[in-house]
Amino acid sequence: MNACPCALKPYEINSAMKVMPVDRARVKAFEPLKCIECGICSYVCPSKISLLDTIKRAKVIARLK
Amino acid sequence: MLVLENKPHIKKSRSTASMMLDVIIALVPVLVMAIVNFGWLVLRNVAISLVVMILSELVFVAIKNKVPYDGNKHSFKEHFASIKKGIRTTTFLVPIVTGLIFSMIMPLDTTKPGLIYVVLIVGALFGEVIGKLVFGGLGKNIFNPAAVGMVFAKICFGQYYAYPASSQYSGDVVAGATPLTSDFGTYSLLDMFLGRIPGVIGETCKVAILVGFVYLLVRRTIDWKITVSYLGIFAIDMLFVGIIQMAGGSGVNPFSYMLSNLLMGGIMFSSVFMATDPVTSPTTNNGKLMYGALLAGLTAIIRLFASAPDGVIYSLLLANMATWAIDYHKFANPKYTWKNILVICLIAVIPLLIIIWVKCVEVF
Repeated sequence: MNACPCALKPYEINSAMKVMPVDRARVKAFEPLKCIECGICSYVCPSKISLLDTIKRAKVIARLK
Repeated sequence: MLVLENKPHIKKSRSTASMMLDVIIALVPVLVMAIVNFGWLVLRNVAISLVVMILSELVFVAIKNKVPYDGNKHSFKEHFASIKKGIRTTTFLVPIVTGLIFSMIMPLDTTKPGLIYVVLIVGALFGEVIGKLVFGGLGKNIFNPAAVGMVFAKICFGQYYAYPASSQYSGDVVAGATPLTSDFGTYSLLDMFLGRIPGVIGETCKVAILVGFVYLLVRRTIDWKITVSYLGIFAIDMLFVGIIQMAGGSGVNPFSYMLSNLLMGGIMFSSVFMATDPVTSPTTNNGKLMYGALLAGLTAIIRLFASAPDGVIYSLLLANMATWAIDYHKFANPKYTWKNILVICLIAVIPLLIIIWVKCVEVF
């Protein structure tokens, strides 16, 4: 949380992406498009979750019309 | 071997297991000082809670990881192989942390001999199963498991609790009287700081707790924000109460009143080891300050005006219930904004106003 340089919430994006089918409005609310893909969230995660992976998928979903 | 994955390919060596190990190391000075103060019987309490909690966690892992029903019959061996895969390091480390904290906030003995076994087993089982496992295990609980178990045991068996004075102080057993319920000023501040007072086994020695706090801060396992805002705002509340009591003509020095309230009861232990639990506390910077302020206000109100002597654990459970609201994505912001700082100030000031109001009615 404090690691993100864009002040995003990677864990919230991750939990929003876990819900099937994905709620697009909920994913968009966490603004994944602001992510600069630095990968710090994946680096510091103590549970070893590949958060950047999920955020990249969230970006695709947020760009859909 | 070819591994296909996204960047970054280097991960920090920090894991959940190493964080839990740090908490265990930080609890060692507390445990040692508890043994110095109260004797070897402390180890009995610790052993009972650890065994109960680890066994219930193992049963949970076994139920969760057995081969799912698919129409065929599976032998015991297949089930066992499947369960073995589910057992990780955290399966043992997390109940050890919970069990250590739980045994530190329980009294050493009961007034009726032998009842302590029942109290510890029932409390540990309830805390681990109802507090954590029914929600789905590590990371999904909303209440602190140790606090749940302690409150349940206190509600069920509270009248049998005995708080023996530490062995270096005197050998008498004081039934149910901690420094909180006895008169203010019975013990000197130095005695309270060094732990030479009767009380719950882990909470009396403040030096050991501070050593653990410094270790956790150096290893960056916990954040300073919850602990500092909790203790700081609580100190301000108590200072105001002391000033009102002095104005009422009771001859109390407000600063010594504030310090003795900080050193009484479980507030130091709770603020360092229990309130900073990463699962049940908020994640944002603002949220951590809000959580500390909320805890401080609730603790002060419960301690001063409720019938419960030490409001620390009750306030912790009440604040746990507010964690989801503090973390709700529409208000929670990782950056400090004026709105968030205003909310922190409001959470700190409203309980203070309530305290001043009730205390003024009581004194004048």
